[in-house]
Amino acid sequence: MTRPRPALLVLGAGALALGLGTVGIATAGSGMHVESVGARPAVTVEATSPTTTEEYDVPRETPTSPYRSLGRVDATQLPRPDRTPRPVGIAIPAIDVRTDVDVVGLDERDQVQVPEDVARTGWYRFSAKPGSGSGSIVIVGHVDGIDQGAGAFYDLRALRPGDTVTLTRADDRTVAYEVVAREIFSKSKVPLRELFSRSGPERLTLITCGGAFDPAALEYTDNIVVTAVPVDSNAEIGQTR
Amino acid sequence: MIRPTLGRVGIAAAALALPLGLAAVPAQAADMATVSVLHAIPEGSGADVVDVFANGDLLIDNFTPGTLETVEVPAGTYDLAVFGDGQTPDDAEPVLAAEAVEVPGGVNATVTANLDAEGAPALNVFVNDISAMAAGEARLIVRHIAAAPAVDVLADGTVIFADVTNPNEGAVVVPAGDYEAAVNLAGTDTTVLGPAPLMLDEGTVTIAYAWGSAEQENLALATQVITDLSTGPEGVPAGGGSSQQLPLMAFGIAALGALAIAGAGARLAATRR
Repeated sequence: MTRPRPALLVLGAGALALGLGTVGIATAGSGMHVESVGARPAVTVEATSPTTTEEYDVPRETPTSPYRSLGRVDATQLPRPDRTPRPVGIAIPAIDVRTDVDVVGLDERDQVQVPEDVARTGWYRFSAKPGSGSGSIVIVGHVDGIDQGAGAFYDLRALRPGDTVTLTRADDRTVAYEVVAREIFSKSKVPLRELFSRSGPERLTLITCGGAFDPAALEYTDNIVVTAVPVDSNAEIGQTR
Repeated sequence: MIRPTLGRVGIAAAALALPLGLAAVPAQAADMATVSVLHAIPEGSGADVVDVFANGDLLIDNFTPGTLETVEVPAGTYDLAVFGDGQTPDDAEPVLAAEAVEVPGGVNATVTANLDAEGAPALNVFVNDISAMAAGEARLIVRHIAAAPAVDVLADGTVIFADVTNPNEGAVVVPAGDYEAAVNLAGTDTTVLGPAPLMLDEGTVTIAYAWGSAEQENLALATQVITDLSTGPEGVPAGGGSSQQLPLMAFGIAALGALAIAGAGARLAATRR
């Protein structure tokens, strides 16, 4: 036997097609996206950035120096606990969402916990806080439940660049964000490290499920990710720290 | 004159960093290294303002106690020398020097100019563990670079590193969160530093240095923070499926696809005969 039999070819092709089918045969877009509208702000996830509270002037370098300074800091300033209030509420008028934001962590598989009550949402407790000026604020919500019907983020996929998302903090102040991107990723290709990064400019990252529901795995095939950036009128909130 | 070397440990750290570095670090990173220098010689010890040279080139200018500067350097072997402000290798002898320090590509290291246990100026080289951490974790490294006896390091009142002596370190991965850190004289309840609130963010390496001199009563804490080392969580399972009216639809589409491709495959097989 030097050649695969047609039966084997069919089996192979069928398996391939099954894989395509479960992601909805959505090949639109490019790269790792299943679908993408708008663009997230570019964030370089790099392990070498020196961050301490106070940046000093970077000393001048001679043009011939083989060394590049990445910054000088006052090392005597200890990293103090961040007292910025956490988010407690979220409003997304474009899709009629107004609900509570709980605090969520990780489950035993290191996946983000999503509130059991699908009408509520959860702020990932290791992520940034609204108005802190840097990092990704991650809020997750169910698209639906096993038996509770549509969840808080059921319509997240309908958001468009320019739509507004408002967070209410524990101190009752509100922080407004404007949607800049909506992306759909196959679950095996979600850029979790970037989406959850604490570096880069402040942005709001909303995550739910999408794509097809796999009844065997009891989960959806995709994640829908909406990224929003602070609107200019928030300028004074960052200064309240 | 001391001769620290990064050789063996350095290579191990570089290998650990590689899997996470591939996607995130610029292409030339393999040829570069990140070196931080901490000025931890207290004021009034004859090194209040210094310049640091590496292989005869100025590395850090006008360096003062308690500050930390991070520099990207080509991988290589370095002679490090610390000079009084304004002096150069051409016209003076260094205050401190370390020869032939191996700096492998991709490594992250910290050089400390500090006092040894007896109070004499010294240079020490530490390799920083920047390997990735799971979601929710933070790494705490504690280094004793003070003219002081052995100490215990406590987090929230519990000893996490016992009997640490100059110039040694302890490292641990802990759940990210807010802690209270303190340094006691080893084996005693005598607190010499802190307790101080310490924030350990997810995915950060926080390096706490005990520096200064017990005799001069200027023991202090300094910190260096390296961020963005979390792998991120494993996923976001945010659906239960109850809104899916036709959960089998995807399989229907897949079946159609299988039929179409199988058909094409059979035709192809037939053609090739």
